[in-house]
Amino acid sequence: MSEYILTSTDIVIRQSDHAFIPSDPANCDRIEYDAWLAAGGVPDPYVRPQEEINWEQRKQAFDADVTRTDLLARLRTASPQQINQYVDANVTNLVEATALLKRILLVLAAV
Amino acid sequence: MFLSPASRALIGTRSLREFPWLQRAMNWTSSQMAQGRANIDLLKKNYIINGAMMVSQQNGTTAGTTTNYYPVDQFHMLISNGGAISAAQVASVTPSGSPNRLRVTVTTADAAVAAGDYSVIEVHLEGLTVADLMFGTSSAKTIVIQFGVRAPAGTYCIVVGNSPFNRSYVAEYSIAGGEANVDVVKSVVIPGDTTGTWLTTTGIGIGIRFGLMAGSSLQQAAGSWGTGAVVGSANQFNFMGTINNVFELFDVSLTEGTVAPAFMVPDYPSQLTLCQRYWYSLLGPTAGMYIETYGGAGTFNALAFNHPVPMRTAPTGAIIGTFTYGNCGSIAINSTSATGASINVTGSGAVSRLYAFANASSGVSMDARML
Repeated sequence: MSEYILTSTDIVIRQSDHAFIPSDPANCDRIEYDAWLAAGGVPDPYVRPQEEINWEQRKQAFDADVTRTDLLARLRTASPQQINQYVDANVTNLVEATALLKRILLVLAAV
Repeated sequence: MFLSPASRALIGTRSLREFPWLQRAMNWTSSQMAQGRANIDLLKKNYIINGAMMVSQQNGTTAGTTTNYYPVDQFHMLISNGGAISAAQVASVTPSGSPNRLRVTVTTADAAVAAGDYSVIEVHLEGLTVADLMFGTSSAKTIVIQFGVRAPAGTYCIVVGNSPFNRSYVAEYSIAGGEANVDVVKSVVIPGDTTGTWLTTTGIGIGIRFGLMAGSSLQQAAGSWGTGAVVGSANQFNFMGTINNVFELFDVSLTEGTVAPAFMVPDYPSQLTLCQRYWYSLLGPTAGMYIETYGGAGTFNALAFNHPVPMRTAPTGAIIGTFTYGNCGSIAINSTSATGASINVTGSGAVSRLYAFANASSGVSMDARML
């Protein structure tokens, strides 16, 4: 582990005390970091937070959802009568209606 | 000429022209001027911030043992030797009436001073603060450093230097046998340096070192300007030589001239504000700092705030203590500037509302000090 780790911004984190060091040449910690860099120091690369990684994975799974892709394609080309027929054929109770509405909203949000 | 009510009462209704001495420049000596100022409670500017040692934002009265430790604001330790010390703000009334002083205690003795050994209390004054002393010019002003001290008998040193400490002046003072371990007031006079580079910016304008131990490679003869990054002269007493030695520093002032006025304890709020230009923290009870935003997944700027006062430079931020998180796993300081800072939260996306609140005695600190 290096003494420092980069972030998604120009702030550098000192790993010994988790101090957030701004990119200001008058900041004493930055002066120390710049000298460390000049002496050959190499900071650890930025690591995305796990929450963002999890979200990215879910988004990829959503994009790859065949059912969703199929529904999106059918919605794009369907007439109002065809949508009515689809709803009549697939929705028989409130739970299914709620699920279908959520699905349609998700698809529309992603368009 | 503006006259105080007391002076007007003295003169009565007579014309000022009948008192030519009131309007004539006086050729007083420095001592006479100092006495004159003292007579009417008029004091010169003290360039030292927190010279009364009352402000200790970061560490309170907790003792520290490491180099760069701040027992009180503005005063930090520089230590490298085989012994050990503890340094802390203590509640002990000083001769001027301050309730606090800085106390250094030897916890492990080091009687054999190696060439590179040192132990120092150091203060850095910002260039903007001391610009009018005009160091590095032909108009450099003489300064006097006055302080209260309680220490074992011996010869001690004070060093004044510039930012890289390639200009330095060693001044000595003595604690006589009869003054050992009792409160005494000492002062040293230092002629302004007419050469060298002395910053008048937000960098270190003047550095001051109160010596406790000085190895031979860190020594310079007292009484003249030199070029060494030193901590004392060859006469510096080895304060580290005996366990339980105590050195107390209090009522510190740096004023222009050759005679220091009596130390005046400054008002606490003003000193706290001055200290916050260099370091402050936002701590409090549970949920004293509350951060909330909506966004679900991703990283969002959730809180932006201004510093209590503009800081010397963009500060280094630190998260202190622990936070309680709701639908997010962490917070991070997104940006800092001399005037403010912002904090990010990173959410997982399961729930839109993201929040984090500081637990008791937790929050953030901002550090723009001149180490």
